[in-house]
Amino acid sequence: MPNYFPHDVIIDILTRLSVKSLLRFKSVCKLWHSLIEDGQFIKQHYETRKSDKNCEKYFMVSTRITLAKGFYYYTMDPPLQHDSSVSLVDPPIATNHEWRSCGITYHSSNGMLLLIYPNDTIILWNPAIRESRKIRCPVLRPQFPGIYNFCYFPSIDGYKIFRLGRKSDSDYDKEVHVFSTKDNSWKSIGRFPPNYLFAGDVVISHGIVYILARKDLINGRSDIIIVRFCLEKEQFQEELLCPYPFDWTDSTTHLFALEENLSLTDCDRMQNYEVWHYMKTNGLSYSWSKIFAIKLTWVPSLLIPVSFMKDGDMLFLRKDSEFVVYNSRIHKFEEVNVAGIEKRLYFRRVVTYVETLFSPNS
Amino acid sequence: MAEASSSITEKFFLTLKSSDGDEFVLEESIAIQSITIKNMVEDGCSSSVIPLSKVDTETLIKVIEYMKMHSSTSSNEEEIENFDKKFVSNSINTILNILEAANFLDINNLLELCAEAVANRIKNKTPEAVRKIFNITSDFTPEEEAEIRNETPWAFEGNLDHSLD
Repeated sequence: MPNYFPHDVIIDILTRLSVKSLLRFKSVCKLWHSLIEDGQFIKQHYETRKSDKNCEKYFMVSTRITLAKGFYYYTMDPPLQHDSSVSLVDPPIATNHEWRSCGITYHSSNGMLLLIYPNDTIILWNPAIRESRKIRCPVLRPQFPGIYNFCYFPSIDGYKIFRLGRKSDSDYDKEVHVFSTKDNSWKSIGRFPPNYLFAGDVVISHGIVYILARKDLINGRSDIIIVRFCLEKEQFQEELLCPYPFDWTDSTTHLFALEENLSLTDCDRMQNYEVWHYMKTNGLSYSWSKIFAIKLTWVPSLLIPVSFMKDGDMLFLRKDSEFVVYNSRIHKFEEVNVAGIEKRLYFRRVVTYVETLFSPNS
Repeated sequence: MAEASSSITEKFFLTLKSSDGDEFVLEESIAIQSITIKNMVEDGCSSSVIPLSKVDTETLIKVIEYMKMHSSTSSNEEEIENFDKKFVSNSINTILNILEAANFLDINNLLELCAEAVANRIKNKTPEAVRKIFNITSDFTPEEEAEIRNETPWAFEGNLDHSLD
């Protein structure tokens, strides 16, 4: 057995291990401890795993409140065939009983989760190493809850959090704040463009915030458009049009981020459901392309794309705690058996993440 | 240009010598999967025997087996896949020796195959088992080790593997 093993070979092995194994192997010896805690290694470990579908995990919180228990936090492994299982995880902060009737929203970037609790309590959390950090809200005692999202910026080696908040009772009066973990402070950006009516979704893809909005047209129509905000330059950009004009009254449109690309789903009154994504074609400019369209045989109260799977299949969350896979070959949804989800729970969204050793406090 | 094309059709052979002194004759086109050997050939050091002082006979036999299977001309994909599967079922000590040799010889595919195999074998192991496998003596005091365990006690829970292979 070799007495001396080259460091780069040890790193080659360690890079392929899960976060849990690495935390355990920190106690092997001082050399392994320092290799695993090294910032460069942590980056390399995440980079080599982030595009590996086998390393992907799903995170979701049930917002059903029973008298006995509070929120349920789950992580789930990708379904290999048509089954998977969930594990309950310890939450980053204790649930406040005053929050019973409210929900938690959450987002994912670079292995980190951003959780927004009622009263604009903001928690940056790495579930893999179970470390969290509280970030104060830019508005003192906010009257209306803010809408948040966040993303990692390699250029500052940190995160930026976007907040859209209502200033007054008027729906049109909204303001934007941006937090940078590098400066550890909020910056007031100013008003949300007043000619748009915010429509509920804020998604970040490649450093751009996409905000679903309505724009009233002169002919009485109300079209759905997407407001763009560049998080790096911290300024609003030209609006983005939907793949084709969606009338507000006729269809239900939502935005998502799938594999870091902006995605859009639309369902009209005839239950024609479409999934689009906005990405670089031929490596040149960004444009919309349709992933698939299907006529649904049920009325979708909820149908949320979660992740791409092999062969163009896609995983969806469909009402409460039901998962389905869109099978691209036979053009049908197939049910997924997820073991471990208690009955009476329901999820409003699912985010994907890849485990990392990054600390939210560094 | 004429010289270059004639060298493709003509077969060259190299002699590799293990740390135990055993010599192995191998086609140059197969041996240069090792970037270390390729560089030696290009620098003109290959006319005589190439000594591989860091690779013992047992390990060199395995490495040559691997290079023969993975040389572009002879094998198909399925054969290679089956070979690799069998290859990584060797004992973890053997794989670690091959991994070290692959690092020294700079054979990237082999390095990746072995690193993945080692990671798979040790992922559920206890730190004590890992120390024995890698021949590491802990340089932590018991207090320091307890402190690291206490930072993330849940990483030490569950069905851990104590075996040394």
